[in-house]
Amino acid sequence: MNSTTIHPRGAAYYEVLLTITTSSSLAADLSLRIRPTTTTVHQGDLLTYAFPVWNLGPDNADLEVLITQVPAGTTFDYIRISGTPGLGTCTHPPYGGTGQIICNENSAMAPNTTWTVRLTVKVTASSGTLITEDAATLADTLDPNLANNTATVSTTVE
Amino acid sequence: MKLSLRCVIAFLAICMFPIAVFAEDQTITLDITAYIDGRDQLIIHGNTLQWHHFDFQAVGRGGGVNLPTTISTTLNGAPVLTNYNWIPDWPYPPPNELYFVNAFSSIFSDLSPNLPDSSMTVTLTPIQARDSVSIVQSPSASNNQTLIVEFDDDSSPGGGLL
Repeated sequence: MNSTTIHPRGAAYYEVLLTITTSSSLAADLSLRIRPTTTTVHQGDLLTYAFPVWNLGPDNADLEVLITQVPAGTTFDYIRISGTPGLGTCTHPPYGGTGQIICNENSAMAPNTTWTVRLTVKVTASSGTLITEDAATLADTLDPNLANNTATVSTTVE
Repeated sequence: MKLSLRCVIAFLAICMFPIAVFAEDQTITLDITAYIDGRDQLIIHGNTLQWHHFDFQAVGRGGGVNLPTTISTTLNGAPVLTNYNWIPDWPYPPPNELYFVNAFSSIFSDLSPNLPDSSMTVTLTPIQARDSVSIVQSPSASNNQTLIVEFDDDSSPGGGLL
Protein backbone atom coordinates (compact mmCIF):
# COMPACT_ATOMS: atom_id res chain seq x y z
CA MET A 1 0.00 0.00 0.00
CA ASN A 2 2.96 2.28 0.39
CA SER A 3 4.36 2.04 -3.10
CA THR A 4 3.54 3.79 -6.36
CA THR A 5 1.17 1.75 -8.51
CA ILE A 6 0.88 2.31 -12.23
CA HIS A 7 -2.42 1.26 -13.74
CA PRO A 8 -4.13 2.01 -17.04
CA ARG A 9 -7.00 4.12 -15.72
CA GLY A 10 -4.98 7.20 -15.00
CA ALA A 11 -6.32 10.24 -13.22
CA ALA A 12 -8.22 13.10 -14.80
CA TYR A 13 -8.78 16.73 -14.02
CA TYR A 14 -12.15 17.59 -12.59
CA GLU A 15 -13.45 21.11 -12.21
CA VAL A 16 -16.67 22.09 -10.50
CA LEU A 17 -18.33 25.36 -9.72
CA LEU A 18 -20.27 25.60 -6.47
CA THR A 19 -22.67 28.49 -6.16
CA ILE A 20 -23.80 29.27 -2.64
CA THR A 21 -26.54 31.74 -1.89
CA THR A 22 -27.63 32.93 1.50
CA SER A 23 -30.60 35.04 2.40
CA SER A 24 -31.20 37.11 5.45
CA SER A 25 -34.77 37.88 4.40
CA LEU A 26 -36.26 35.05 6.50
CA ALA A 27 -35.79 34.85 10.23
CA ALA A 28 -37.13 32.77 13.08
CA ASP A 29 -36.34 33.36 16.72
CA LEU A 30 -36.17 30.03 18.53
CA SER A 31 -36.56 29.99 22.28
CA LEU A 32 -35.59 26.98 24.40
CA ARG A 33 -36.42 26.09 27.99
CA ILE A 34 -35.76 23.02 30.10
CA ARG A 35 -38.48 22.03 32.53
CA PRO A 36 -37.76 19.14 34.91
CA THR A 37 -40.72 17.33 36.47
CA THR A 38 -39.26 18.03 39.88
CA THR A 39 -36.43 20.00 41.42
CA THR A 40 -35.54 17.32 43.95
CA VAL A 41 -35.08 13.60 43.30
CA HIS A 42 -33.75 10.48 44.99
CA GLN A 43 -31.33 7.87 43.74
CA GLY A 44 -33.28 5.41 41.61
CA ASP A 45 -36.02 7.89 40.68
CA LEU A 46 -37.05 8.61 37.13
CA LEU A 47 -36.58 12.26 36.18
CA THR A 48 -38.21 13.73 33.09
CA TYR A 49 -37.04 16.89 31.35
CA ALA A 50 -39.26 18.71 28.88
CA PHE A 51 -37.44 20.75 26.24
CA PRO A 52 -40.04 23.03 24.62
CA VAL A 53 -38.68 24.86 21.57
CA TRP A 54 -40.81 27.85 20.62
CA ASN A 55 -40.65 29.54 17.27
CA LEU A 56 -41.25 33.19 18.13
CA GLY A 57 -41.20 34.06 14.43
CA PRO A 58 -41.57 36.03 12.33
CA ASP A 59 -41.06 33.27 9.74
CA ASN A 60 -41.10 29.50 9.62
CA ALA A 61 -38.16 27.81 11.31
CA ASP A 62 -36.82 25.06 9.07
CA LEU A 63 -35.34 21.83 10.36
CA GLU A 64 -34.91 22.60 14.03
CA VAL A 65 -32.35 20.61 15.91
CA LEU A 66 -32.20 20.05 19.66
CA ILE A 67 -28.87 18.93 21.10
CA THR A 68 -28.50 17.71 24.64
CA GLN A 69 -27.13 14.72 26.52
CA VAL A 70 -27.93 12.36 29.35
CA PRO A 71 -26.81 14.43 32.34
CA ALA A 72 -24.02 13.18 34.57
CA GLY A 73 -25.41 11.16 37.45
CA THR A 74 -28.20 9.61 35.38
CA THR A 75 -28.74 6.99 32.69
CA PHE A 76 -31.00 7.07 29.66
CA ASP A 77 -34.51 5.69 30.08
CA TYR A 78 -36.60 6.89 27.12
CA ILE A 79 -37.39 9.90 24.94
CA ARG A 80 -40.47 11.13 23.10
CA ILE A 81 -41.38 14.07 20.90
CA SER A 82 -44.59 16.06 20.61
CA GLY A 83 -45.72 19.27 18.96
CA THR A 84 -46.56 20.64 15.58
CA PRO A 85 -46.23 20.06 12.72
CA GLY A 86 -43.80 17.14 12.60
CA LEU A 87 -42.70 14.88 15.40
CA GLY A 88 -39.17 14.33 14.14
CA THR A 89 -36.57 11.80 15.16
CA CYS A 90 -33.89 11.48 17.81
CA THR A 91 -30.61 9.67 18.07
CA HIS A 92 -29.90 8.70 21.66
CA PRO A 93 -27.96 6.26 23.81
CA PRO A 94 -29.43 2.82 24.53
CA TYR A 95 -31.52 2.15 27.63
CA GLY A 96 -29.25 2.45 30.64
CA GLY A 97 -26.59 4.26 28.64
CA THR A 98 -25.16 7.75 28.63
CA GLY A 99 -24.12 10.15 25.92
CA GLN A 100 -25.28 12.74 23.43
CA ILE A 101 -28.85 13.16 22.16
CA ILE A 102 -29.69 14.88 18.87
CA CYS A 103 -33.31 15.41 17.84
CA ASN A 104 -34.25 16.65 14.38
CA GLU A 105 -37.65 18.19 13.78
CA ASN A 106 -37.36 17.30 10.05
CA SER A 107 -39.89 19.87 8.91
CA ALA A 108 -40.81 23.56 9.08
CA MET A 109 -42.28 24.98 12.27
CA ALA A 110 -44.70 27.86 11.86
CA PRO A 111 -44.39 31.00 13.99
CA ASN A 112 -45.93 30.79 17.45
CA THR A 113 -45.86 27.02 17.56
CA THR A 114 -43.82 24.74 19.76
CA TRP A 115 -41.95 21.47 19.41
CA THR A 116 -41.24 19.58 22.59
CA VAL A 117 -38.84 16.78 23.36
CA ARG A 118 -39.25 14.91 26.64
CA LEU A 119 -36.29 13.00 28.02
CA THR A 120 -36.62 10.62 30.93
CA VAL A 121 -33.51 9.51 32.80
CA LYS A 122 -32.88 7.34 35.84
CA VAL A 123 -31.02 8.96 38.68
CA THR A 124 -27.89 7.04 39.69
CA ALA A 125 -26.13 9.79 41.64
CA SER A 126 -26.05 9.66 45.41
CA SER A 127 -27.59 12.10 47.86
CA GLY A 128 -26.23 15.62 47.73
CA THR A 129 -25.34 15.51 44.04
CA LEU A 130 -26.43 18.34 41.79
CA ILE A 131 -27.56 17.03 38.41
CA THR A 132 -27.16 19.64 35.70
CA GLU A 133 -28.73 19.37 32.27
CA ASP A 134 -28.10 21.77 29.40
CA ALA A 135 -29.28 21.93 25.82
CA ALA A 136 -29.12 24.01 22.68
CA THR A 137 -31.37 24.48 19.70
CA LEU A 138 -30.82 25.86 16.24
CA ALA A 139 -32.39 25.70 12.80
CA ASP A 140 -31.52 26.26 9.18
CA THR A 141 -33.43 29.54 9.23
CA LEU A 142 -31.52 32.61 10.38
CA ASP A 143 -32.09 33.27 14.07
CA PRO A 144 -31.93 36.98 14.96
CA ASN A 145 -31.69 36.29 18.70
CA LEU A 146 -29.37 33.49 19.79
CA ALA A 147 -29.44 34.50 23.46
CA ASN A 148 -32.47 32.27 24.08
CA ASN A 149 -31.22 29.21 22.18
CA THR A 150 -29.55 27.52 25.14
CA ALA A 151 -30.81 26.53 28.57
CA THR A 152 -29.50 24.92 31.74
CA VAL A 153 -31.28 23.47 34.74
CA SER A 154 -30.06 21.80 37.93
CA THR A 155 -31.76 19.25 40.14
CA THR A 156 -30.64 18.19 43.63
CA VAL A 157 -30.48 14.54 44.68
CA GLU A 158 -31.83 14.21 48.22
CA MET B 1 -20.53 14.92 11.39
CA LYS B 2 -21.09 14.53 15.08
CA LEU B 3 -22.13 17.68 16.86
CA SER B 4 -20.72 18.55 20.22
CA LEU B 5 -23.20 20.27 22.51
CA ARG B 6 -20.52 22.41 24.02
CA CYS B 7 -19.27 23.41 20.57
CA VAL B 8 -22.80 24.35 19.59
CA ILE B 9 -23.28 26.39 22.75
CA ALA B 10 -19.93 28.08 22.14
CA PHE B 11 -20.93 28.72 18.54
CA LEU B 12 -24.20 30.26 19.65
CA ALA B 13 -22.42 32.41 22.22
CA ILE B 14 -20.00 33.71 19.61
CA CYS B 15 -22.85 34.45 17.25
CA MET B 16 -24.71 36.53 19.80
CA PHE B 17 -22.88 39.54 18.40
CA PRO B 18 -25.32 41.30 16.09
CA ILE B 19 -22.74 41.76 13.36
CA ALA B 20 -22.58 38.01 12.94
CA VAL B 21 -26.33 37.56 12.90
CA PHE B 22 -27.56 40.11 10.42
CA ALA B 23 -25.51 39.20 7.39
CA GLU B 24 -26.40 40.62 4.00
CA ASP B 25 -27.66 38.37 1.23
CA GLN B 26 -24.62 36.84 -0.39
CA THR B 27 -23.65 34.83 -3.42
CA ILE B 28 -20.43 32.89 -3.07
CA THR B 29 -18.82 30.79 -5.77
CA LEU B 30 -16.16 28.14 -5.29
CA ASP B 31 -14.37 26.89 -8.37
CA ILE B 32 -12.45 23.73 -7.51
CA THR B 33 -10.09 21.94 -9.87
CA ALA B 34 -8.45 18.68 -8.84
CA TYR B 35 -6.66 15.66 -10.29
CA ILE B 36 -8.98 12.76 -9.50
CA ASP B 37 -8.91 9.01 -9.85
CA GLY B 38 -11.40 6.77 -8.12
CA ARG B 39 -13.78 8.12 -5.52
CA ASP B 40 -13.03 11.15 -3.35
CA GLN B 41 -15.16 13.51 -1.32
CA LEU B 42 -14.44 17.18 -0.69
CA ILE B 43 -15.65 18.27 2.75
CA ILE B 44 -16.35 21.99 3.03
CA HIS B 45 -17.14 23.60 6.37
CA GLY B 46 -16.63 27.20 7.43
CA ASN B 47 -13.22 28.24 6.16
CA THR B 48 -11.95 24.70 5.68
CA LEU B 49 -11.60 22.15 2.91
CA GLN B 50 -10.57 18.54 3.36
CA TRP B 51 -10.42 15.55 1.03
CA HIS B 52 -11.63 12.10 1.97
CA HIS B 53 -10.10 9.48 -0.31
CA PHE B 54 -11.78 6.12 -0.79
CA ASP B 55 -10.25 4.16 -3.67
CA PHE B 56 -7.80 4.16 -6.58
CA GLN B 57 -5.37 7.10 -6.30
CA ALA B 58 -5.61 9.98 -3.87
CA VAL B 59 -6.40 13.46 -5.13
CA GLY B 60 -3.36 14.95 -6.86
CA ARG B 61 -1.32 11.75 -6.62
CA GLY B 62 -2.23 9.92 -9.85
CA GLY B 63 0.90 8.55 -11.50
CA GLY B 64 3.05 9.40 -8.50
CA VAL B 65 2.86 13.16 -8.98
CA ASN B 66 1.82 15.68 -6.35
CA LEU B 67 -0.56 18.13 -8.00
CA PRO B 68 -2.47 20.85 -6.19
CA THR B 69 -6.16 21.40 -5.71
CA THR B 70 -6.80 24.77 -7.32
CA ILE B 71 -9.31 27.06 -5.66
CA SER B 72 -10.93 30.22 -6.99
CA THR B 73 -13.69 32.03 -5.13
CA THR B 74 -15.89 35.06 -5.53
CA LEU B 75 -18.15 37.01 -3.22
CA ASN B 76 -21.07 38.76 -4.88
CA GLY B 77 -19.16 38.61 -8.16
CA ALA B 78 -15.88 40.00 -6.83
CA PRO B 79 -12.85 37.67 -6.94
CA VAL B 80 -11.44 36.68 -3.55
CA LEU B 81 -9.15 33.71 -4.17
CA THR B 82 -7.81 33.34 -7.69
CA ASN B 83 -6.25 30.04 -8.73
CA TYR B 84 -4.94 29.38 -5.22
CA ASN B 85 -2.95 26.15 -5.26
CA TRP B 86 -3.37 23.96 -2.21
CA ILE B 87 -1.30 20.78 -2.10
CA PRO B 88 -2.98 18.52 0.44
CA ASP B 89 -0.81 16.39 2.67
CA TRP B 90 -1.70 12.72 2.91
CA PRO B 91 -0.62 10.05 5.39
CA TYR B 92 2.12 8.94 2.94
CA PRO B 93 4.40 11.34 1.04
CA PRO B 94 4.64 11.35 -2.77
CA PRO B 95 5.18 9.43 -4.95
CA ASN B 96 2.91 7.18 -2.88
CA GLU B 97 -0.55 7.25 -4.48
CA LEU B 98 -2.46 5.93 -1.46
CA TYR B 99 -3.82 3.32 -3.83
CA PHE B 100 -7.07 2.07 -2.28
CA VAL B 101 -6.11 3.61 1.05
CA ASN B 102 -9.11 5.13 2.83
CA ALA B 103 -7.62 8.35 4.15
CA PHE B 104 -8.27 11.99 4.98
CA SER B 105 -6.04 14.76 3.67
CA SER B 106 -4.71 17.67 5.64
CA ILE B 107 -7.15 20.54 6.15
CA PHE B 108 -6.99 23.73 4.12
CA SER B 109 -8.14 26.43 6.51
CA ASP B 110 -7.82 29.60 4.46
CA LEU B 111 -10.99 29.34 2.44
CA SER B 112 -12.37 32.81 1.86
CA PRO B 113 -15.17 33.68 1.82
CA ASN B 114 -16.07 30.91 4.18
CA LEU B 115 -19.16 28.78 4.02
CA PRO B 116 -21.94 30.57 5.97
CA ASP B 117 -23.00 29.29 9.37
CA SER B 118 -26.68 29.75 8.57
CA SER B 119 -29.13 28.49 5.98
CA MET B 120 -27.84 28.45 2.42
CA THR B 121 -28.63 27.02 -0.98
CA VAL B 122 -25.91 25.24 -2.93
CA THR B 123 -25.90 24.38 -6.61
CA LEU B 124 -23.19 22.39 -8.35
CA THR B 125 -22.14 22.89 -11.97
CA PRO B 126 -19.61 20.42 -13.39
CA ILE B 127 -17.24 22.25 -15.73
CA GLN B 128 -14.93 19.34 -16.48
CA ALA B 129 -15.66 15.79 -15.39
CA ARG B 130 -14.83 12.34 -16.68
CA ASP B 131 -17.50 10.70 -14.56
CA SER B 132 -19.96 11.95 -11.98
CA VAL B 133 -19.81 14.76 -9.47
CA SER B 134 -22.59 15.30 -6.98
CA ILE B 135 -23.52 16.88 -3.68
CA VAL B 136 -23.85 14.00 -1.24
CA GLN B 137 -24.49 16.20 1.79
CA SER B 138 -26.11 19.62 1.66
CA PRO B 139 -25.31 21.97 4.52
CA SER B 140 -27.91 22.11 7.26
CA ALA B 141 -28.19 22.76 10.96
CA SER B 142 -28.08 19.05 11.68
CA ASN B 143 -24.64 18.63 10.08
CA ASN B 144 -23.21 21.92 11.33
CA GLN B 145 -23.53 23.47 7.85
CA THR B 146 -21.09 21.03 6.26
CA LEU B 147 -21.14 20.54 2.49
CA ILE B 148 -19.77 17.34 0.96
CA VAL B 149 -19.15 17.00 -2.77
CA GLU B 150 -18.36 13.58 -4.19
CA PHE B 151 -16.16 13.01 -7.22
CA ASP B 152 -16.94 9.47 -8.35
CA ASP B 153 -14.55 8.42 -11.06
CA ASP B 154 -14.93 4.69 -10.35
CA SER B 155 -16.91 3.74 -13.44
CA SER B 156 -14.51 5.24 -15.94
CA PRO B 157 -12.80 2.52 -18.02
CA GLY B 158 -9.73 4.56 -18.86
CA GLY B 159 -7.98 7.88 -18.87
CA GLY B 160 -8.76 11.00 -20.82
CA LEU B 161 -9.84 14.54 -20.24
CA LEU B 162 -13.23 15.87 -21.13
